[in-house]
Amino acid sequence: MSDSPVAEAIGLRKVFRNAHARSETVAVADVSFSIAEGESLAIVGESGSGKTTIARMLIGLERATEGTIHICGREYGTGHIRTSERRRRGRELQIVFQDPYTSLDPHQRVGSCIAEVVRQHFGCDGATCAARVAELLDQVGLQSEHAQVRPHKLSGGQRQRVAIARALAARPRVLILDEAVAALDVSVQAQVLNLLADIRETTSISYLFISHDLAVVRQVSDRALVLHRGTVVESGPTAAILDHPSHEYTRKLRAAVPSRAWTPEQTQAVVTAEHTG
Amino acid sequence: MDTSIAPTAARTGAPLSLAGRLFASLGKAGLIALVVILVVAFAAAAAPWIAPYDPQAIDLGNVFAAPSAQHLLGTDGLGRDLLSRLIWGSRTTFIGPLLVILMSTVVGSALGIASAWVGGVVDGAIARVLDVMFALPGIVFALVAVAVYGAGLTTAVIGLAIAYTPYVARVVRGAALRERNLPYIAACSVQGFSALRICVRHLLPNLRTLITVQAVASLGFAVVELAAISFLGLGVQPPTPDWGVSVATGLQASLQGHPAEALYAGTVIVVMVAAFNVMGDSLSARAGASRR
Amino acid sequence: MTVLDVRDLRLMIGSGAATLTIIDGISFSIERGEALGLVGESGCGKSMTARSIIGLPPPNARVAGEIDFEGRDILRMGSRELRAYRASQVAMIFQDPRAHTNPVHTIGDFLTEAQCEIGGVTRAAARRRAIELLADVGIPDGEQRLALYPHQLSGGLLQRVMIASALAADPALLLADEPTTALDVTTQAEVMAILTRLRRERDLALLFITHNLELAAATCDRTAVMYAGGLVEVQRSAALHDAPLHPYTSGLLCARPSIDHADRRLVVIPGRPVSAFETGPGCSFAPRCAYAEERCRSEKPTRTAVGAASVACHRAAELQGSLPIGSVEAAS
Repeated sequence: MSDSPVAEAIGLRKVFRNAHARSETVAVADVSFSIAEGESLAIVGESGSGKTTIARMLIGLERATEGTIHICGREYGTGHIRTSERRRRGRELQIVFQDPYTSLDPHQRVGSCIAEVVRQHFGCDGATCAARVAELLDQVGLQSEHAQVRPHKLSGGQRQRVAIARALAARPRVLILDEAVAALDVSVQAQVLNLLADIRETTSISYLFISHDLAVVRQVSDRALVLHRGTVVESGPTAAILDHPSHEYTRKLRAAVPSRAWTPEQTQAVVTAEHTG
Repeated sequence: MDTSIAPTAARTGAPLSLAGRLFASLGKAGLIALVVILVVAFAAAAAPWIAPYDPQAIDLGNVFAAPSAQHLLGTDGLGRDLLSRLIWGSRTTFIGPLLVILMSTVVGSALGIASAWVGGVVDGAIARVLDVMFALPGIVFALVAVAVYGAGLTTAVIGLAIAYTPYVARVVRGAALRERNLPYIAACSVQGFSALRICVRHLLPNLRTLITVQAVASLGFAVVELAAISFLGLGVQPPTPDWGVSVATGLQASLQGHPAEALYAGTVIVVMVAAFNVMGDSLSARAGASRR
Repeated sequence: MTVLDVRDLRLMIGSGAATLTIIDGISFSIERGEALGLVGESGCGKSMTARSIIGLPPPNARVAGEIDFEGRDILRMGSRELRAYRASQVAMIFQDPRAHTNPVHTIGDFLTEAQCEIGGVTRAAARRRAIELLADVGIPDGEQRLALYPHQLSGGLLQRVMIASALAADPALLLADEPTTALDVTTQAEVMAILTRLRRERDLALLFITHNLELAAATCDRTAVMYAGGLVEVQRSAALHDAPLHPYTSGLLCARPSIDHADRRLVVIPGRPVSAFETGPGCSFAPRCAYAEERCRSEKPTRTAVGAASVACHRAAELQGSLPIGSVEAAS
């Protein structure tokens, strides 16, 4: 549509205050990025890197301590978000979570789950709604019979497809995938990655793909940010970062990925620094 | 493409419908308990037709009669047929506790869910209020109510219902807090659903199992406590037949060498309470096994 | 010298009409000092295999076949013998160390308890040994660490403590059930390095269960691929990675994206991974196999030798050397 980015974050910062220890943890420190229409940006990091916190800040589940977020040209304030504003945001930004076993309401049938979202954003009647649900199920590779079942009858891969269908039901411009394939078997992961590629090709949706898996990131994203302890250590086209990493952390990350000729190297005793909060 | 719908056996369990759960997975003990409860419920409902005599019919020529063909369980100190009094007494034994549980469950669940949803200061304040209410045992509450508003089943029921509410609220709040933090609830927030809608359409159905199990188990307690209140003369008033009242009047008769009334009434109370407890146990065992 | 010899292991859950087969007759062996990777997806039965070997199948499971540990059949051991076996001959580490440590006990308690209880060692001696063990797994200041609680350690550190505890009794066989799946990739590298070094130092036999074929290929001498309760291929890891013999192995290799290039689309195996009880007659992989023939659908293949490897596929001989391992543009 236009040249302006469909998603933009500037100077994002999140500080958690630990009341008991009276200390602070800086989860995210000065992270900025932008996503163009139809583009797929990956945020790569290990645990504690702050990548999930960034996703939560964008989607409004966490308040940013500092920084601005613009989605579809609109600023997303970080104060209390009213329900009507949330509904509006749902049309622009959606999310698929990591765990397929807790991201769907166990009591709700798949069709009803998706229909609820369609009605929320488009307020259509029964027949139109049902048609749209069938269309979405087809788009994610499920059959119409699946609309009548509850999540417990579905496999992990199928549940993630439902989660994707639910997210797409709102016709968002940007989709955040927070480790969305990490919990899936290898063969199923491949199917879902292909599905995501198909969706991006047929719509002009943009992805913010959060992952720790470098191979998946290579497959699914155009550009990437490497996050270490809350700061961006490297950013650029995914291929360039992975083939010629310029930052030491990226190199270390790349070197740790198992492959045919890989042998694990005993790194320095980083043990002294390793306490969890 | 992944098109098959996985057979249920391969997947982790899930919440069945209410009926499905109750009738399909109670286990032997639970089923026996259910039968007992249903028998008593039937007796309560069909009392006018199955009780051989009017429970209030006094026959002073036939007091403390031993069991016979005319009076299967004998008679009490006023010649009233014990079997008929037992059958009719099952009514208040059912209605009272049912009302207590109904009221406390509805109010307690609403309180628990709302508290968990709003969180923060409000949740903290509600939790403290509940803590205070815990300090007073149910019977004490009911006695206070009776002292203020006079004896009677209604007052006892309301007093007890208030006393039970914090138990329900605490359990529901704990479970609601856990569910509330799961991604599927976050996914609803993201869509911009109202808090009420999320709580009623998404949170509540997933707590239904827990609430039901809690309610069934509590019925047993309510039976005992209401019987106790009636025993003390502060609940159901004689001559209305009620098991708790029967224990009280039967107690005096026991001292005169006629323990029958107290024994029968006491036994059925124990059986009812045990049945509810066993049902509650088997429901919770099955529910625990099939969660997700 | 063969430490473990599994012969036609079967595991069924439930009874009567509701019996579900989880493991459908698998056979393999592990030599002293060897690492065998057991790779498979959800529902294939790999975790149950480990539990059978350590003698802790689920309560309602029936186990058949033979599991020979240094000549003795575990499935026929009495409970006393089994306890002794578990105490000092075999050890197991799991995916989630936090679920297997008591949060109210310190690391020191965790490491010394077994020694004192079973080994009859004094507390002081047990503590010294614990500090040695921690040093062995790359935790130098063991003295201070003994006083810490599990929640004060990161996942990687805790997993190292688990390894230390597992090796305390000097077992001959270590079973590792997805020990690095929940760890960051850099932590995973460290933990794998420790495992490899300890294995070499102590001539330890290792059964390494994972869903990550590359990890198994890189760290284990041989790799066994499991599908729907059966072993479809067992080969030397390097050879398996370069020239898989079974279509499923090939499918797994192709399905995995490469870190070196992006494919337009990944080559997928249609359908989803199934368990043993969900399969029909014939080869369990036939419904999803691109190379399946009539014979595959009606007749179940047995695992037969093909050179130094073994594979359960009717068409193994003719497919040998031609199964893909990546996309068409595959190049390093």
